Amino acid sequence: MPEATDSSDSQINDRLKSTLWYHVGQLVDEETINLGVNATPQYIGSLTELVWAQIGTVATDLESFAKHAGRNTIKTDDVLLLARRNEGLESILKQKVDEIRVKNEQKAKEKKDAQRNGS
Amino acid sequence: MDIDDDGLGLTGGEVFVPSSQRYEPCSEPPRKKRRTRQILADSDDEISSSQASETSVTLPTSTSKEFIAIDDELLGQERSKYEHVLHKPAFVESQKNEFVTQIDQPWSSPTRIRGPRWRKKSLTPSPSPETGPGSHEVERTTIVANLGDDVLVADDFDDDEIEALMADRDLGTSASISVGSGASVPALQRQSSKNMRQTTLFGLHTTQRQAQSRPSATQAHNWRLAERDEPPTHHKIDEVAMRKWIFPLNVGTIRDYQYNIVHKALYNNILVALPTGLGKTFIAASVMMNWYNWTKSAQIVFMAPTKPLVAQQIEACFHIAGIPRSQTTLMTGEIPPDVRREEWQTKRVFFMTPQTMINDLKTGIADPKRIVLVVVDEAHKAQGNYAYVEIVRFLHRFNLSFRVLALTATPGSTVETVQKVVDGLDIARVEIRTEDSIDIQAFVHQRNIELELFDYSDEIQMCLDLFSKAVKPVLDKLCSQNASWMKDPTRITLYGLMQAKKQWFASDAGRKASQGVKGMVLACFQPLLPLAHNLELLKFHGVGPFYRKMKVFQDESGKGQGAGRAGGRPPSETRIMVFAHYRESAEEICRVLNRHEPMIRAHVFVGQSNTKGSDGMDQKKQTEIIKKFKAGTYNTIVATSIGEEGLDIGEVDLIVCYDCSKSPIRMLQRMGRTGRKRAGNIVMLLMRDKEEGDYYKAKDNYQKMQEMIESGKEFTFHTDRSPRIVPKGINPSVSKEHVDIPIENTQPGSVESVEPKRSRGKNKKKPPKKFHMPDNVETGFTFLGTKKKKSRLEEEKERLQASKHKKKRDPSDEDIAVMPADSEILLTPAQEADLEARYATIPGTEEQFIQAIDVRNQPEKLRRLDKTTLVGHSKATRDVVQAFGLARNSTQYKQRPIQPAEEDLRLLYRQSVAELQQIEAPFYVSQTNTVAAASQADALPELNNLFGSPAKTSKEKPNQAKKRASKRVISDDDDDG
Repeated sequence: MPEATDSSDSQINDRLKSTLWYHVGQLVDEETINLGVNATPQYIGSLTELVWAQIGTVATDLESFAKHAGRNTIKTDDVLLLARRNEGLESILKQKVDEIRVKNEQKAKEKKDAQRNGS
Repeated sequence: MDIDDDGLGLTGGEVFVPSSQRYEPCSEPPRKKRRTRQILADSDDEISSSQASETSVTLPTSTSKEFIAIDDELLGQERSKYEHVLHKPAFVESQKNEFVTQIDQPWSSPTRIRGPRWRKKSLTPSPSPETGPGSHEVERTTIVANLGDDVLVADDFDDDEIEALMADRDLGTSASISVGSGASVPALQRQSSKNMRQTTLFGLHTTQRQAQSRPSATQAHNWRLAERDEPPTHHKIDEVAMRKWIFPLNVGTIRDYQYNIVHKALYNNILVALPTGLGKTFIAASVMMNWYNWTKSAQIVFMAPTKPLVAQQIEACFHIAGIPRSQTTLMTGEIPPDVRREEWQTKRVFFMTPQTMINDLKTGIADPKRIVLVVVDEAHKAQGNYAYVEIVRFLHRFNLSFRVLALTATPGSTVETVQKVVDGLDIARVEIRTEDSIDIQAFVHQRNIELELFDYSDEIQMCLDLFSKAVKPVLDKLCSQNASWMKDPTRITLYGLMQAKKQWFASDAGRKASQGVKGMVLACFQPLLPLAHNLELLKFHGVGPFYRKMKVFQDESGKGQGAGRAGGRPPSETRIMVFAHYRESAEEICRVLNRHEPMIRAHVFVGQSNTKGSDGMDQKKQTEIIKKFKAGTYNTIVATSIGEEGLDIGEVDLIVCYDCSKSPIRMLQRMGRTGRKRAGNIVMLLMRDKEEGDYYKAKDNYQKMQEMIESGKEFTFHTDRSPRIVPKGINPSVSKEHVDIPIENTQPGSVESVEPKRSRGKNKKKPPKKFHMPDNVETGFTFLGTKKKKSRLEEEKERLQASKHKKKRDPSDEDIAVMPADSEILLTPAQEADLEARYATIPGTEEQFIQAIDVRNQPEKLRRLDKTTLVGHSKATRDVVQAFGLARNSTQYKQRPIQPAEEDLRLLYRQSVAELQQIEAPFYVSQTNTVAAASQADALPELNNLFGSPAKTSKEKPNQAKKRASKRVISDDDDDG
């Protein structure tokens, strides 16, 4: 978790965290209704902490992966690298990336065709 | 060591997660997306899935809103099936006027009657007609036509050009021909103007438009140079200076053609062909000055074929353009290389002969990358392997951004030769003015050309008779072998004989002839060739030279008598130049003329090489003679071809051409020596018959050549090799101003002192050869055959390729996600209140803390893999669970049994020692001091090592395993999404 340096930074951190808290809470509520169980506010709070910590590590990891590859932008490759330890997750992500790729290619092709027809 | 105590102590950011991978918040979105994708994808299963979802609308499911919306859309599409049955007036609007290029009436649908069609005015593009959606095709054709018009108009003007064109227009008349190739017209525009052909609705081609558009090969249009993409130059550019370009006014009036040419020459590699005496030097100086100012450290080279010519240009550059003398140097082969090297390092403007230049480039004294402008004087020489061509080729290997300015009075006699020059110097444009061009007419001085025809004198006639008698038998022999068709020995020429010889040997008869006949023919030709040359001398240069040549040939002699017939009536101010082909005749003429001293003070002016019978003149002597000629010490110069080119002696009033050349270039250059500052006379002395014919031929050739070059159709230009160099954004504006000439330039002797002094020190050693390398060149050794080592270049290439490949393959990564604004993410006040109410408040007064999860509280969970939905357990998780299981099971095992033998030994030893110490301590110590002490000191730790550690490790094992496992849990959590 990156330490907040400024007061404004810490403020925004807090607000982001509360956003996360809220959304985690909502998701948990939704799921608990489906599952027919109850979740205590404490559970939601700790889950939020957990997700928050996880987001922090993921962010720094992605950043360092991208830096290691000599880039300034985080790419799908970095995310795949992040998921390398969990094979199931990795394969899902890979599938997803391929889908996006195919879609983009199609789009590009359509655009090209459209241009050709247009001119 | 004690891991059990704090082995699971978690610090700040680390969080433990139970082994279950049910990551619920994430499991929903992917599912959703997958559904939407199926609908978007254009595949066969889409239909089935969409139909399925259609039916599913009625069912109460938990599908998201987004999903339902898509279903609605699909339903809407389904409904339109019956649309074509119903009548729907598609075109309700009133008929509109249509403006088209051809007014033939095409078919129109009965359901939709089109409006009236009008012929569009041909060149002013009409406002694009508004038509209904049904008339797409009609609309398209007209629009294409419009587009074509626009492009044509746009092609004709480019930004760099407009200024120059305006200047032309001011002048009222313009005979400027600017010819460029269309190679760099932006691709899109060209496509539309070239590939699109206007057709009628029936697919027939219309003829109107084609008549207007000229075929692109001959199209003389200017391209949008300023907008061309090119790699930025490596030269350091002075951006402030580059905002304007200076047209110096130091010589007085602005000549429009000079202005135009200078302006174009700044951005293009240009070949300027101006008649002699119209200020080519001025153009060169202006361009040089501008590039000198624009760049900070780049070098400029001016080249002319001979040293006197080079020296002449320096003066002009000093006094017109004001390039500081301290930055200028004159270098010819006379300057030793070490001095030259120093000059190359310190100076920026170089006046050189091409041979010196190429030598310096080859030895590495000169750095080809620093050169930004090469001015080539007498550019018509740039053919074949002349140093000019070599230099440009050489520079091109190292340096992609340098400008070439080629100057000549006579670009060439045929289109092919001009093309050679264009090829050799990477020319992108030709600027040609002839004496007939309107814009230069005002500046051309009148020249009177007199023709004087001569018949052979009696002596010559006699010599000819004798000559023919001598040669006749040999010639007859040749004729009998069909080797020559020339029967009259007085008409043989060198060229004709050579040709005949070649033909005969190539012909059937020649190839099949026996060795003897061949030898005979060869033996006949051998003496004839020099004799033919001698005959030419006799005919056109008089008996004297003929005699001397014949002497050399060791043949019979003709009585020598001078044939001097030069006309020169001398007011003291006049200067006369006499041109002759051969040195012998030049000397002869000079001798004859000098009989009239002091009225005629003549001197020969010949080249450097020594020949039989006469010594050459070195360049020093040549410049000296020119100086004396200008000063008036000599008032007549008798020159061979060396005097033809480039010498700028303003006041030559009379040119005498003692003989005549068929070559128009040489004739023109000769004539160009006069009429520079005042009107001049030219006297041509021609022998009746052959020379007369030659003269008319030359004149005819010249005119034809000019016409052909002017039309400029047949040239292919090298626009790709002519970078603009000036960066894309910069469009220098003109500033016509008087250039301040630095004081150092005007001081007397400034021109002479430009030449660097001979080497100062004793260090006459040749400087070491230095190798300049073009960019992206791989140097050093490469390993072949082994796969281990790859050359740097290859690796880089591969890397590049890989990255390119990746880019192509991975379009998903091309667009970068946008950072959402804070306001979008952060909670609204309402949501905050909701949060407070639902999650943040807990009944009761006790403070609640969120703690790190203590794994020890859930020992059972750690040893079991939970159920997963989407994402399976990772290997790491499985490992951890396994490890925990093992760790737990291992505690049930007994400790590893220590081998009884070891145990016994230890106990035995301890007991014995203790006993010994207890029973007879003092005695034993005194007696067995050495033994006991040694055994106690050494054996104990040894034993400890031996027995202690195995026991410890066996105890440790589960703990260690636990520790590792816990660590894995952490890392597992951290890394898995």
